[in-house]
Amino acid sequence: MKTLLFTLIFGVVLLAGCEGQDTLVIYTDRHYETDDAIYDAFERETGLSVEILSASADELIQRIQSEGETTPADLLFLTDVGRLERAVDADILTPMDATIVAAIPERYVHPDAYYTGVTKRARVLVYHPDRVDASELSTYEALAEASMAGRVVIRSSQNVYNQSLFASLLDLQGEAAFDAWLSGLKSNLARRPAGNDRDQAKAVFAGEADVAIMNTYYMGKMAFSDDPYERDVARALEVFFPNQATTGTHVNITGLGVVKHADNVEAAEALITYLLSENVQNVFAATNYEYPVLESATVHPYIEAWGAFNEQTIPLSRLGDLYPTVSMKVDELRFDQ
Amino acid sequence: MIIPKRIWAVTLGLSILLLMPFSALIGALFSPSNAIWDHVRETLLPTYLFHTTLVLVISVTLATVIGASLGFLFARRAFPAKKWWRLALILPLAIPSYVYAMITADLFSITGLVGRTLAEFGVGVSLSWMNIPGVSVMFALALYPYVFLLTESTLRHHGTHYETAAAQLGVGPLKVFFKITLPLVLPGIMAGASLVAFEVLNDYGTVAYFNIPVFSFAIFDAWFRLGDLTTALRIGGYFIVFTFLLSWAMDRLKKPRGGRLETPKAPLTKLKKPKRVMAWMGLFWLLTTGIPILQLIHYLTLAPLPSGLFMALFRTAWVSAFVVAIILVLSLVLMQPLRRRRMPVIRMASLGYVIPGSIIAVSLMGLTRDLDVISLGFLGGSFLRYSVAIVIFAMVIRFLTLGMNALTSGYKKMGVRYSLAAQSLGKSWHQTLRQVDIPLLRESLISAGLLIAIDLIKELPLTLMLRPFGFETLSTLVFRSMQNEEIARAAGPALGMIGLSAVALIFMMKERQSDARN
Repeated sequence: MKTLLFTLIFGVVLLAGCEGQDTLVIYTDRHYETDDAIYDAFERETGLSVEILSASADELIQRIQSEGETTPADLLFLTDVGRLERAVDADILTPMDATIVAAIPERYVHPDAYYTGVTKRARVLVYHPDRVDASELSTYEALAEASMAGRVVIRSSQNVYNQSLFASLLDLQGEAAFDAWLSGLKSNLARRPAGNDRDQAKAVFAGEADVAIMNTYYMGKMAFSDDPYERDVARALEVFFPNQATTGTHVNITGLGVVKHADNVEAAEALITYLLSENVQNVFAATNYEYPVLESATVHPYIEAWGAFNEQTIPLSRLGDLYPTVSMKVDELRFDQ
Repeated sequence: MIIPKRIWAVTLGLSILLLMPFSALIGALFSPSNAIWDHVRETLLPTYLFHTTLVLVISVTLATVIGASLGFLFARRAFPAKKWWRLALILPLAIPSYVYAMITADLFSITGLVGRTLAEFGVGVSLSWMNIPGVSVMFALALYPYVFLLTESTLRHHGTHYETAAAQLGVGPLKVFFKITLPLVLPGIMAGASLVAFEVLNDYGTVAYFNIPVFSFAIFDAWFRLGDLTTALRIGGYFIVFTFLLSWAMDRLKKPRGGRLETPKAPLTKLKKPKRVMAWMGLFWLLTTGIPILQLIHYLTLAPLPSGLFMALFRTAWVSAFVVAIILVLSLVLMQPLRRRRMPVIRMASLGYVIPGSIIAVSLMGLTRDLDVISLGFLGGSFLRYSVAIVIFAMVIRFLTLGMNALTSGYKKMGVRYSLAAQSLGKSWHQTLRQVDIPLLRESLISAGLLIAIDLIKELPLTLMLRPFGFETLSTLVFRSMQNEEIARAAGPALGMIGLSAVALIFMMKERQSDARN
């Protein structure tokens, strides 16, 4: 009994973690291994050490809120602008020094610099050239037309990428047109929404559907996948940027902001500067197939081959406010059922 | 039987400590409603309830049919290499159900390896698993071993006494099965079925990937998508009411019926057509377990191992061992007052298993925050919050049920006579526990410990939400790769989990055999 008690106490004491002074703590829902290499390089250059806690965006926001002033987090790095907006609303971020983000297009930075985009991704159409002629495709809106009946696949409407796509379309189309579009899209689906983005591309490859809605970098990841089947899928499919003649293709960002009660603001800002530097922007593009936010950075050749495209111009920060309305609408329509 | 006053006090204190996290959920039930809750109640709740019930009914029924048939076969028939068959057939327990479901559903879909291979031969598979029947089948195949194990051990304990007597009196084999065997084994089957039911209810990964709106999904949906934690907790509160009712109903069916005779073990009947039965079993195993594991091994060759894999393996092993030890000790202590009288507060405190891990985690977040505020002066701020201690505490809350259940039935079998005899011979409470109870409960303790260990190795939501940074276990590594849609990279840690659990399973089998010999 005594031994047991001792072990218990010893265990608890041993495990009560300590955070060093030179440690920069990042809470993130970006789990890419390629990011780890970037942090390692930052550690070597600055002598600071970087610690990562990964979980889903909302868990992290909740956690920082509940940690309050004692939070070990210095930076919050999330993969969706709507979630970043939610973090701003939750009052857990603090504006960063605006000079850090001077080179970044205004569109990807919060008006008061509560967060900045680091990479961006377009939500595009992916189709099988044997079954779809590119001339059949034009806009997100056209996916709801009768000619697309039973040919479209998309993942769950609960997913953030879809929430933010839908929010942008709601903003652009207005409520009545959006409602009609959403129900048209639902009736054109080849199958009930399920699985992840890659699954949608695979469904098109396998002939279950002709067009998938998905993020660009997944095409890059499949094209250079460990799995030969995924490489086949990427090779067989084509990418189409919708709404080029109209409102532009939907683009979302991954971005980060300094946590309000961060202990290490200086180091946090140093890391943001580092992530936005041209070299590191190139690395993001080269290893994770994302678009860099810094315009002078180089896009991966595979992605570059798709050519330049027009983006939606609505302010990204507006999307977060539209999430609740979008959520209610998809639920009422039973979009996923 | 004499139990010292301090034990009563300690157990009462422990129970209250274990119950504290649930106050948040019950509180949420009574908090004023808001627009999000109204929306959930009007548009979503009926769907959640309906789908949850449907998934439960299909998956539990199917798991019960598979598990109970196997249990009967193993307890009543002799055939070659039985212990290897048993190990193979309980192996799905070692695979987290969301990994299992993702891999198996994909394999047999049009985009999966099996589907593609069949397509090469002109056989088109357009089977979709991403629906309620599909997800239910996946759960059944991942979880049937619970029913199998418990059916088998219940049947073995009963011996073949009644069945032989009935057969000798000229009752046909079917009638013997329905009139004698089934009633005898029903408590065991139901115990297994309720484990399956609670595992299904706790799952989040599978239903999220398959996009099936059930209760556990609803909790996260309200929190993440609709952005309202209070509504999420309120759904959690209703969820607990739902599962308490379910567990109460299942408990009633678990009550053993009829008397029990400890009979000398009769030799088992030889299987009539062993080759045919084994061929079917082999095919079943290959399709549902063998090929999915082979797929994981194949993935392993495709992708590099995630960094920190061995550290995670080690950490998973020691945390699991540590928590098992705490749960067993705690169960022993908490059981003491229960031997004297019914204590609902202790029973309530050990119902954690029916509550999804994520809900326990959210409740604990609130609780530790308050505790840290209170202890600010002398422990330096965030001593408890997001420490390994709190991860361990949460695991204890959730899995204590399994320890308590095993000891409840262990003590029931043992009765109070030995303990009373020891105490009347002047042994203290403490000595009785050590010298009489524990040796007699050895089998229950070990098998409960191993079952808990297998669950702990797979545990994800508690660890994910409460851990300090840098604390990666095998399941958090799997989670990370799955989130990135990089299933191949999840193979290393997933196989690590299967390996660790397999070690536990082999121990469990060994223990049973030595128990059977004694």
